[in-house]
Amino acid sequence: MQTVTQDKFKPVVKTGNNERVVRQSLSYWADAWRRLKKNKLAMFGLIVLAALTILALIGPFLQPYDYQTQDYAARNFAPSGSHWFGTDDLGRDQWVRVWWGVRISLFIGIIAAVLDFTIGVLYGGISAYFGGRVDDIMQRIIEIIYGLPFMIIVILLMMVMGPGIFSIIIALAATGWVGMARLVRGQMLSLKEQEYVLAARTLGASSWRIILRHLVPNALGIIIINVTFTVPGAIFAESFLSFIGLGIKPPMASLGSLVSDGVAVMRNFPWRLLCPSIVFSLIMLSFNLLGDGLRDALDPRLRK
Amino acid sequence: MLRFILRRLIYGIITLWVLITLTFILMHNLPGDPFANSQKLSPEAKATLMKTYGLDQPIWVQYGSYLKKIATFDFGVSFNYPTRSVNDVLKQTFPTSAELGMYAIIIAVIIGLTLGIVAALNHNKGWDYVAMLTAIIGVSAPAFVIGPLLSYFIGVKLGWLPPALWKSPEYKILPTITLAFGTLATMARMMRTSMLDVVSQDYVKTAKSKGLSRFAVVVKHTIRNAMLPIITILGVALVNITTGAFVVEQIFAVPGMGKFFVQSISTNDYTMIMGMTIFYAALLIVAIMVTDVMYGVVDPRIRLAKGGK
Repeated sequence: MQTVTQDKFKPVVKTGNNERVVRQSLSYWADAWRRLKKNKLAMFGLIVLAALTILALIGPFLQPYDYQTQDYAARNFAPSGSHWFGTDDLGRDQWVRVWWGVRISLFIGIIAAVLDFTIGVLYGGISAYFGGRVDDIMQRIIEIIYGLPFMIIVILLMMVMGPGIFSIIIALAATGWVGMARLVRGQMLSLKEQEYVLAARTLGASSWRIILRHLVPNALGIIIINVTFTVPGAIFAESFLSFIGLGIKPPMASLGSLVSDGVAVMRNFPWRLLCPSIVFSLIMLSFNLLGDGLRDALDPRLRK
Repeated sequence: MLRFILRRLIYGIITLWVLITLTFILMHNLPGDPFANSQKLSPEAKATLMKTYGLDQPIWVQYGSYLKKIATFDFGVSFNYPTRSVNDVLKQTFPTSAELGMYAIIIAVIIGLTLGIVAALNHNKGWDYVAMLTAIIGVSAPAFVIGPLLSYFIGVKLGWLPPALWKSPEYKILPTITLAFGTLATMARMMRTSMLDVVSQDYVKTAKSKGLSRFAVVVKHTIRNAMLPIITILGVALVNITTGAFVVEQIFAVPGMGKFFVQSISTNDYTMIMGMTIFYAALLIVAIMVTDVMYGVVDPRIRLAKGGK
């Protein structure tokens, strides 16, 4: 039997350093960014998107042509050193036209996201905040709008307002916010009931502090995820409308109308179909990959 | 249950009424003259035409008679071709579109669900990547990109299948694949997520520990429950396939409703557009309503949450 003597023990000296947390505490956003960086597909999407954005900005200046000047001496040229994506049946340079199309696509995507975000968060927020009768009426309105077939409404609106970027934006804004409003309302309602909100209230936090420090940051991740899927949706809608002849009007080029023109001549001039199709698919692909990555990075339920 | 169905029905009717009214208002504010295509009309002739179409009446009277006509399924005659009634056009073109849409939705559901199930059962292995790749391509390349590409490579370059038109069965393959692709991809993705979700549920663990065969666990316990969320997206899938048909019928020169709809838009054929819009909308609203009710029937939790009050 061993005896436990006093000298087997020694006092721990408090050095003042041993309370220190060794690993740096990560904020929600820093952690999300770290997760996103680890996701190869999402990073691929981000890089492609950055490349497309840069090309959309500088692409048209890399060639000495503009999107509308017709050159009858240079009709239906195949891709070459002087016309990288070839020319169309009016002798316009396809490279310049494609990048103008990308500009329009990205512009529509960004504007649609901003409008969606603003209208959706306001509508959903007001509905959830006031509750009761206001909420009831606002929700009934949403339920009816939600049942309307989106594309048909957009087509009707486009017909009344005529083709053009402005009409597309109005039509998309008028119909696109419903999903966001529903999401925000649902989030706000469920977050309001969370224990940490109760805890904050018990500790005497003001309503403003609860909204700004607890509700908004916690809903923001899901809102951002929704926005990243709004962007490709809007880009698709614009190209779809331009494809059926309701979107951007000539001589301005849109990827949708370029593809549509390409379909008509694909037997003889396949590059006129291939170039805009590939660029369009790359835009959609990069946004979707990035969106998927962001969802995995931002959704707390997927955290380990 | 009856209460739930009734509630959905009332919503459906209100939505339809809102749509009809909206269509009416928008069409009356359209830029362009419906008689612009037939130039050189004398003012008298124009006045007579206006009278035959009831355009000289005050707008409320027009609205009232319009509602009455719609209620009796009379959509009037085409503005551009006075001998052609909207109902005739619908009768002619709808069967083709319905056939195409039916093939597309069947292909999308069968292949999409199979792909999703196989992917989930082989999580993070070969088949999983195939399914995920399909899903990514499906969302990145919509019908108006994939259709022309298929038509060009398989139809024109390789010559395996006819690149356009709608005749014998081999003509129907490419349009069907094009139309089905996006929905197929969404289905595969949803089914995969749903399966992975269900696999980790306690009742699946219970089924396994009871010693049930792998087949019984997968088919009876996992797939059956994983199918539930799929029913909710069936309505959306139908909407996507219907609007997708606008471009697919255009690309492959299929003589369906979508092609006609797009044509009517470019020729400002008011009555035709109004009739077709309302027909489309009614179709879709009913479809969404039916899927909603179906979901309520299959999953009691939804019924209680949505219509229980």
